[in-house]
Amino acid sequence: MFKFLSTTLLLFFTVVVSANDVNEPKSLRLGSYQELVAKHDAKPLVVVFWSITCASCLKEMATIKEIHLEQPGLPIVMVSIDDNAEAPAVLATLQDKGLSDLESWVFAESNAQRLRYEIDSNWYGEIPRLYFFDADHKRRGISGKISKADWLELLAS
Amino acid sequence: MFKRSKKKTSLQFIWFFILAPLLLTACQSTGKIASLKPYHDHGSAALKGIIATDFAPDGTLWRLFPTDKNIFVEYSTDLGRSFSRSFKVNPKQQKINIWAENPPIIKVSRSGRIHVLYYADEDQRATTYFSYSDDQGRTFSTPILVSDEAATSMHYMDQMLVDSTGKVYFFWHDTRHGRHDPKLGSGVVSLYYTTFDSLNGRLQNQKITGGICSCCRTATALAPNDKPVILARMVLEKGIRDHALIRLLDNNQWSQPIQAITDDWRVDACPEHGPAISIDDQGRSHLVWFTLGEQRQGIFYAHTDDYGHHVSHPPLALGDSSQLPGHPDVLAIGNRVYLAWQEFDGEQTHIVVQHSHDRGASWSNRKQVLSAPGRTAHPQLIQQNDNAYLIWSSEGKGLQLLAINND
Repeated sequence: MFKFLSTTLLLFFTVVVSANDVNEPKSLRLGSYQELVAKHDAKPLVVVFWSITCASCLKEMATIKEIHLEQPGLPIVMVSIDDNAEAPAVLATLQDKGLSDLESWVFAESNAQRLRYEIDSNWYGEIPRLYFFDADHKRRGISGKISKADWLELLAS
Repeated sequence: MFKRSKKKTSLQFIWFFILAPLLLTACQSTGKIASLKPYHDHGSAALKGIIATDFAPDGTLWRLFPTDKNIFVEYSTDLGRSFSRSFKVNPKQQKINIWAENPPIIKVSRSGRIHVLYYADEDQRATTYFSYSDDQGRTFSTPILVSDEAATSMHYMDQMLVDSTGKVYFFWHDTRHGRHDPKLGSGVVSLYYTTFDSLNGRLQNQKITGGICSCCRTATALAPNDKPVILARMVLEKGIRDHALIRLLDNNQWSQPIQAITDDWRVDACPEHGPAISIDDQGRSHLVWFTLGEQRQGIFYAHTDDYGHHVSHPPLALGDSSQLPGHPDVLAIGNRVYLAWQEFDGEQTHIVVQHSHDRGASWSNRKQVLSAPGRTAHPQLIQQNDNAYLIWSSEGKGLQLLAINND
């Protein structure tokens, strides 16, 4: 019975999500990240840096979708580190993975390293790179694909 | 009036193309560069600031200059202060697809043949084309696909080696067996290779190993016996992304990968940070790499005399850890070993060098030698006769070449 209910619920959310407006990726420039984070002030937030060519990132998206469906009130922001010219491919990938309703950004500075440094001066550029913000906006950065259990633990901590 | 003027311009234009190659040939024999307008004008900006280079045996510096649609080749006989007219490699425009970890390559053999490898998007995103010139770049062979599954599989992170006989080896990351391994995780691809030693014939693709980290460039070098040695970031048990050596044995079979470095970097991610290798004439392999492992974090140097079975320990830590040190290169010439890597201060990228006179036993102080704003290629160390040069290109400053002294 529980299994039936959760499947129905998941289907319901999937239909609702697919009916939502698609969020076109916005251009992330110097200063955009601080605005992005400030917009979600005093609330837990997850920011995911990814690329259309990163297999680990694409695999991680299944988990992100599950978390999104279970916690629709949790803001998850997807930031593609691909070149701005790849914005159509970025959107197509998010649509394919059922994540196009999430707030989405794409790197729009030719010097990606400078943009990364502004976000985190200790980040070498490995992806996926996830930042978990608690309600006080204390930030924790994690590199690499993580499990759903890890997500839940990080969201709870 | 207008028509006459136009006719005159056309005649001048024709004479230019007839005389320019003759003038260039004459100047070449005297070692001087003719002051000619570019044959193909590619503008001043290389795609993403990335320019590939190599020295010919006579000391001529060749460079490959990519744009978003074309690949050009030029040469310099004054160590990069000026370059010749541009020779176009690809006759038809293509969508050139390169990035710093996946740059195009130019190699000049002992005989003077110029080999060019570049990436373009075709049916599948990113595949490689090969072309060569036997007439000092005046004409290039029609570019051919290196992969025999280019329509369905990605083919990237190539390396090209040319041995002393002119035999060309290509190595690359290939997705034909997928990009996921149920035991190892995501971003796991195969390492393929092929050789080219004749004017005709298909490039027969052969698998060397699976378990390769998809987005970290694999490094290659020739051993004193003229056979290739590979240093690759592999995805090992429990998803650990550490480095292994593989070499072509005397029976022309590939050795099993030998895990040379144990950093314990357990991560399911794209580090985009490949290693480098150079082998000295006594057979010592000099290795540099990046890791964020349990054992250590940053960039490191070590050497091995038996292709990874025993490796110097502990590794030498390079760079200022507060400046994101990365993308190291290494070059061994006799007993001398040169290192170069990049650091970033939030505004500019800097190149730092260090060297050893005793095959990696002791080291000079580190020295910052070049800087540039904007997007950059990775630094590269190349050899010309007995001299070491640092080559680095960037959007901000174009191509920079620096002879590394031994102070």
